[in-house]
Amino acid sequence: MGQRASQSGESYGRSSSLLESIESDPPPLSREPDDSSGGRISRIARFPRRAVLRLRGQGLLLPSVVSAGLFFLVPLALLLVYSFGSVNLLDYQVYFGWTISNYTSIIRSIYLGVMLRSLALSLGATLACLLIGFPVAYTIARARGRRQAVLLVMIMVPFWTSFIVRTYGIYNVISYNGPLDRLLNAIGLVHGQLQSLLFQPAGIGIGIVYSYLPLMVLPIYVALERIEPNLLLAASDLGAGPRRVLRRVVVPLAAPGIVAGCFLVGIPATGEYTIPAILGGGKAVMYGNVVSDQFLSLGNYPFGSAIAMALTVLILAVLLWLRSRAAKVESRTSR
Amino acid sequence: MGESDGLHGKAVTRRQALAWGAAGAVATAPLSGALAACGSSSKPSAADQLSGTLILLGYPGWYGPDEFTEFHHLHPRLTVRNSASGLVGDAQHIAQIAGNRGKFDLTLCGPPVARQLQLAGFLQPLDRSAVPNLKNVAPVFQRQFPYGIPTDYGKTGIAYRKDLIPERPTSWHDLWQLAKKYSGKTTMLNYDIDIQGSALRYLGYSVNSTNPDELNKMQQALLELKPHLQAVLSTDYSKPLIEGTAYMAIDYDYDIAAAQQKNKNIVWVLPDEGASAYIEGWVALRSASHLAAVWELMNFHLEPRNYASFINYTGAAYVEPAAKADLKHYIVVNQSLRYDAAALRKVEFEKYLGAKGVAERGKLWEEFLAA
Repeated sequence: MGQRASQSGESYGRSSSLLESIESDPPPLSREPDDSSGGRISRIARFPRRAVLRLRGQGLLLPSVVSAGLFFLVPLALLLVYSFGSVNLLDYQVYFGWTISNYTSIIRSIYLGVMLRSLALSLGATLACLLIGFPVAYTIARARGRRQAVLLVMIMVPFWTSFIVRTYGIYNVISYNGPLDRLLNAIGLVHGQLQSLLFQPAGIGIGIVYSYLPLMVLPIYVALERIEPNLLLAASDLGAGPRRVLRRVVVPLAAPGIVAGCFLVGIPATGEYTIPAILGGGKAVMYGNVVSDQFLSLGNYPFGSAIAMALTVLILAVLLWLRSRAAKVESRTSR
Repeated sequence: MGESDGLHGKAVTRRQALAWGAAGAVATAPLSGALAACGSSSKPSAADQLSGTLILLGYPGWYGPDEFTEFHHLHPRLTVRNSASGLVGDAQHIAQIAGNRGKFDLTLCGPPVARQLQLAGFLQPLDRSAVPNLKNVAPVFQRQFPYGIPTDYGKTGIAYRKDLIPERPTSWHDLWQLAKKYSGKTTMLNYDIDIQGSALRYLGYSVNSTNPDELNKMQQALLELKPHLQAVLSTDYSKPLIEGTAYMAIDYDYDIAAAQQKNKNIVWVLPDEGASAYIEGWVALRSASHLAAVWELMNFHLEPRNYASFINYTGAAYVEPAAKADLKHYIVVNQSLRYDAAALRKVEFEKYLGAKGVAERGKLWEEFLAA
């Protein structure tokens, strides 16, 4: 482990030197270069080389910039334009304009209520994922060799199955007379059929936790993997008990993974559509279902776009707030 | 209300048909190119002068199993292809036609969509002289669907498990009361027009009401029922009833007829207060590029033997008593599917409510689901 950490340190070192060599100011004209040719390289000769290197680096970004632009920014811009439009209720054709009536209609209590329900469900599911996911990730990170590989595969295997199939799997598990129902009856926790999971918010919560758990486990695992074991030993040597080590060393060092996991679970869960559609039984709808209804059932694309944009803006605002908070905390700790 | 008999044949439901979606749509094209073994009594007509592909916008599989193949056999230069693209609701249905003018020749729809298409200028008026087999359709259905040829109809009623509850509900009033008594044991359809229509009949109003006061009372009645519902189902409507996890359901007649094949204890009831009913049919679109062929296909569909094949395959309630001789016995005798003039007097067919009416009812339904 120590050797691996040291190799990784060297690797970072090399990367950083390379970066510095590219980004730093050019050396003085009189400086002898390190190349074997022994000739002087003028400032004029070095500039194009650096420019080429920079262009190469930027060129590597091109595919991701193009795909993000085409498949993320353009649809988002379309959604924004649609959200200010209006619809002809006879033929459901959209007319573009700059009306804000779609946004003012969102203030109606039903949409705010559904938004709050979605946020509450998403927050609850994210916390549950964290509570379940952290110990799992810790166990995997502490495991070694074949055992670790097996545990990682167990986390990832469900992702090889279609999301809808997995959701129907949960449907069967929590359904009346399903395995969970029978188990709880067998151990005497409930008597008779379960009444409170399928077609209820609790069922949706279970579905979200099950479906999104790997997205919490994997980033936390990566963060825990990077913790130098010597730090834990040092903390113990200095008299910290296991709980204190966890609280004062492990959790702070795993914070980037925890934050990433919370975002990966919380953001898509807030706009979740499939899970409430299947497990909610039409009784407990989430924000994604309301958006979907506007597009598919009512044909009101502009209003559907407006409520989708409202959620996007809300999530973006929360993200920016969290980021600024994290930056403040980081600057305080680095001082 | 009496109890209906269990069924002995196997029918396909509209939902099953939708679920087969892509597979059916893909399979239809090559199938229509093949020759059918059996012929038809239709005579070659002006349609034979045409060639090309007719595109029907409708549920996949919601036609006779060999119907399009046989039509092609009769008119070798014409093929029929079904597209189910965008059929996820009335609004999407109309938007699909409006956004793809000239793509579809005819579509399957009910009177609300047909009337809306007519008002928007997308509907081609029916040329009755070009569809002589229309005479085989019962006049009541011709009156309800003047836009094209009626193909099938359905009623929204009550179903219950006679082995799980001692009561025998016969009305919407009974259902509203029993749903509270057996809280969490009733399911309903996730389809606004039918459920709102049922609630309106429960209150003694028209299924097609747009009166704000009546709609307000309807909404209150539905909200009063909601906490006692097990689910508002978009698919597998009768599954909880078949499994016995639900005791009662507000469901379609054809779905319950199919459910009775799986569980003989399921009883269908057409409520005393009356019920909402839908009718479906094919309408020609103004942008149709093969209009003569569209009329020919409609006429072919209504030939009693072809029509019976469609009904036997889909298990829907039939609109053409002339086809009775070729229908499967269980369809003819089943209480919810058979042609019953007395039952038809108890139902009110759904109509187009106007743009504002549709939007208002849609908004109320959304509020009901979100509550």
